[in-house]
Amino acid sequence: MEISFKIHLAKIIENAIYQLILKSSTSVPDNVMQKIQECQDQIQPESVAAIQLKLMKENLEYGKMNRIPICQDTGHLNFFIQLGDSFPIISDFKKQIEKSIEKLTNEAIIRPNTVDPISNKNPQNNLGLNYPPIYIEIIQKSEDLIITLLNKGGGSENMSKLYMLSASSGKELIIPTVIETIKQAGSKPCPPIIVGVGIGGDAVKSMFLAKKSLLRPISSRNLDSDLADLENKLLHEINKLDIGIMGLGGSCTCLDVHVERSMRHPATYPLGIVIDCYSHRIRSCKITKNGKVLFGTLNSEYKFQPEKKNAGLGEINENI
Amino acid sequence: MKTYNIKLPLKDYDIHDFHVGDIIYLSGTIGTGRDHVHKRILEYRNSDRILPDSFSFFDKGAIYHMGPIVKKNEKNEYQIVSGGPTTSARMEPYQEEVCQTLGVAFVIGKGGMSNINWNRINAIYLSFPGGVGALMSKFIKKIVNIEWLDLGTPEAVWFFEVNKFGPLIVTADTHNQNLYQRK
Repeated sequence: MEISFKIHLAKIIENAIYQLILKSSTSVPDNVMQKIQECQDQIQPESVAAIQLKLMKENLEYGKMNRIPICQDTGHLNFFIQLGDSFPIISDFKKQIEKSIEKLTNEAIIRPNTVDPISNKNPQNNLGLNYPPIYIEIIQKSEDLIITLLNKGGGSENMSKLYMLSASSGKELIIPTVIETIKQAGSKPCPPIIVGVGIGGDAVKSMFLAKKSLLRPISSRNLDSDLADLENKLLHEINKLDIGIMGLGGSCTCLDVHVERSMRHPATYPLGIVIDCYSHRIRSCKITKNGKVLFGTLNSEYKFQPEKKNAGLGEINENI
Repeated sequence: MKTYNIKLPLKDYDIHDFHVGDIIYLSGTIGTGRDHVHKRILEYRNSDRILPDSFSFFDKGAIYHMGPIVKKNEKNEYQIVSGGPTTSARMEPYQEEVCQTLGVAFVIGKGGMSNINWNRINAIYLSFPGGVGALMSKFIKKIVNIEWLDLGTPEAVWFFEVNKFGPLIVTADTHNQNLYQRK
């Protein structure tokens, strides 16, 4: 009985992951669309940037309506798993993820995006050594499994930076270093961008926090007021760089900045920066211990928030 | 700022007719090429190897920095599902020589390219917005040929016929103007 229940639940998880990748690759969350609309209201109507932004918006709508991958670069699929300690299955769910990935690759919803770095061969199935990246967090006193997917495109990922700043003056260097990084990135990460910043920890942790911060909704602020101030300041400064839509100038450069921090070593001051493109493909799903599946996004505290049904996401009910 | 409907290969206009800010709609056969394609074209040239015949589409034609999502239809023929541009800056080290080798008139991509002497190579740069993959499928009539599939589907050379592909914006011209460079 127990075993067949778990097999059934594992199948539900596999289906939920399939739906998650499908939704995430073919649409952006509503708040991203709203922000893009705000950009459109701000810029000069006949400008070259406006011509491009119009196409960008049309494309997001067209892809969502017709279930076509909005960007041909469906990215590297980054899975962030929040696993409740009382959820019936304890696993990294790699098997379920791989099965769904393989199916969606065959259905041309995701591009074969894994290349062996030594042979430079693409196995064309989106699988391979150490792929996909899966980050697991165990949640105490929880019975749910929450999976968040970030489709991370190569153009924006190329602009990621890790700085090991001076331990004595790192804090003062945060703003100028982030600004210089975004300036150098220019048009390449497909602005208007979303910027994730991780301060402290070690080399890995700062980069991880920078990426994780992208999971928070656009316009959410860190609950820590010092970091919230820093987010506002960075957003303001980045939008003064005159990079603009696709690098064609103007103040619509950045949709939001998110900052997270972690304790650092006395000798180090790591600063991690990860950038995402305007086509910010991020979605979450929640699977209860009984196999009920809900789709949505994470909130400012990285907690699951179901999306409104009219957003076309709905629920999947499976009986166990 | 003018709008042009252009049939490929380019013969109705001179490349110097175009200026930054102009809008272009392309019809005819264009070919894709990104990272490894650029590198390989120069390897062929440097070792006097002959490029595939279909590369003649690039002559007075267009090279599109793009790696598509493709699927096979019921007739076992490839179709392009999504195909927006990739970051052109990565092709900078190869672009001038590739254009000269192939006779390219239009380089299509996103984000712009620096340190390219467009006047010397008789070509211009056209921008299509990054991420606009789904809409692109509307402009594609059919795939004409595929080369170098050994590089994988995102990196192979795809030749396809487009109908009024655009609006493409001239963002770098042969008059030394570049819309990505801030004054």
